Amino acid sequence: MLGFDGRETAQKAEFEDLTLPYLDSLYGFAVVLTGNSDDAHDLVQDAYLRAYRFYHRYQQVTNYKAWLFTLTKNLFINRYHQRAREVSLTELEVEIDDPYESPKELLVAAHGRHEKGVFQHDFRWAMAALPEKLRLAVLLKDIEGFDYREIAEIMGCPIGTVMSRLSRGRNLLKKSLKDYWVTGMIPEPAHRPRKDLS
Amino acid sequence: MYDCSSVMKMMDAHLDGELDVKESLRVQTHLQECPYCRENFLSEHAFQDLLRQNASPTPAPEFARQCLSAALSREARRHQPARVRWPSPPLFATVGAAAALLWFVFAWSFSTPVPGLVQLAVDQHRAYLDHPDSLDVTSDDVRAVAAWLKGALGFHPGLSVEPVANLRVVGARALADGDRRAAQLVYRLGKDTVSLLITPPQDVRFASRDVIAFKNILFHPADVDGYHTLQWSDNRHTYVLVSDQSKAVYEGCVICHGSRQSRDTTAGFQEGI
Repeated sequence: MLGFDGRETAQKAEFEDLTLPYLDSLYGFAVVLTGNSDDAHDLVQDAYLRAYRFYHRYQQVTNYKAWLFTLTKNLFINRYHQRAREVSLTELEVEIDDPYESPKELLVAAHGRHEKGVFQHDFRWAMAALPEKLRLAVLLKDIEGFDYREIAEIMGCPIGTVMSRLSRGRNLLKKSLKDYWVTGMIPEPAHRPRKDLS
Repeated sequence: MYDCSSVMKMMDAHLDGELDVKESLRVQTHLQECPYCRENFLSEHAFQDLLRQNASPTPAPEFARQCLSAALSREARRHQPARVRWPSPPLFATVGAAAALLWFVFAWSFSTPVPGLVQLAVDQHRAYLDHPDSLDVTSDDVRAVAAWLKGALGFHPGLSVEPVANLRVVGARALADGDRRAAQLVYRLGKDTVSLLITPPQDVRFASRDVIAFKNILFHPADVDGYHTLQWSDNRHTYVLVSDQSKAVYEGCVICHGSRQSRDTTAGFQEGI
């Protein structure tokens, strides 16, 4: 076997410079999609390999982050189609018509948690308890900073659906944290465990 | 003019900067005039700030980064990018260049050092093929072979004891790899003979950059003395599979993952090759 020639090395380095900064984000996204770190590891690796193959042909991509996320989501649907269907069929156990509640009380309680240094852990716990679709919407918007149009493309749904999932996700997050922080009640996780592929 | 109910419905989109200029101005006008909505807006804004500051994604483990880098290197070698078309050189120059390239590939393939453990596995496989009666124990009962190995080596080789179509154990022998103990198991996989060398976990370094990353394990394929080998380590042992058929080497996962359930864990491995 021969080593790389200069062109291959340069092209690979260029691809890595453009895409590797998103590895952590993509890994977090894949963990939400697949539900476990082993499958997330494989999914992310396959997505990068596929991206690299496409990169040789389509170098005109402008938004690498959104492109990688869309590619990962499509790969997940193709490869884990049965599980993807289960994710898409997960019933959202959220009351749509819950009366609005301001997060003011929550913010006061959050301040106390912040001082105790347990704040970040609580957020992760509450995020993990969200149903998958809502968690994806919150992750793509509030953590990854995509706009509604990009999220709609990644998730393959209309912008109105993105807005509704985002709103419900944030409200459920506030509710879980408030119940936990203010009343000391630990709410039931909103999602049901998924079956393994078989 | 918007009322409180309309503004509350548009609050998220306003905070996310997704409203058009006209809608945004209307919402802002309402917020300036309505203390109730303004307070809610400020609270929601503070909550989103908290969320962004604290809900950072779990970073990818360092291992995932290493595997990805190895897989991309492998892909880059496999993928030849479009070359610049040069004017056709004279025939003698083409033939000369091809001969030089062949010599280089030939010389390079012989100069690549093979890890001692892989060479040991190949030598033992060849020794078995030359002298099939040289095994310490022969039996087609994998439980009996595993029990004998445990007694002879002091470690459990962790083989699947469920019957697998086309796979039959032939026997085993105990070896010494330096001061370590090792076991060679011989199998018939269809029409092919496969050897599996098992040792306690050890660091095996390949000069070749060929690597297959699968389920958090790095598999190193190699061609040694005309045989195909596949080496990997998990947290219990280090393994080397040897056969004269590359297909048999890649199908050798049934030795340890013979059961239906554990076969699922190897699904997709062939795709990664």
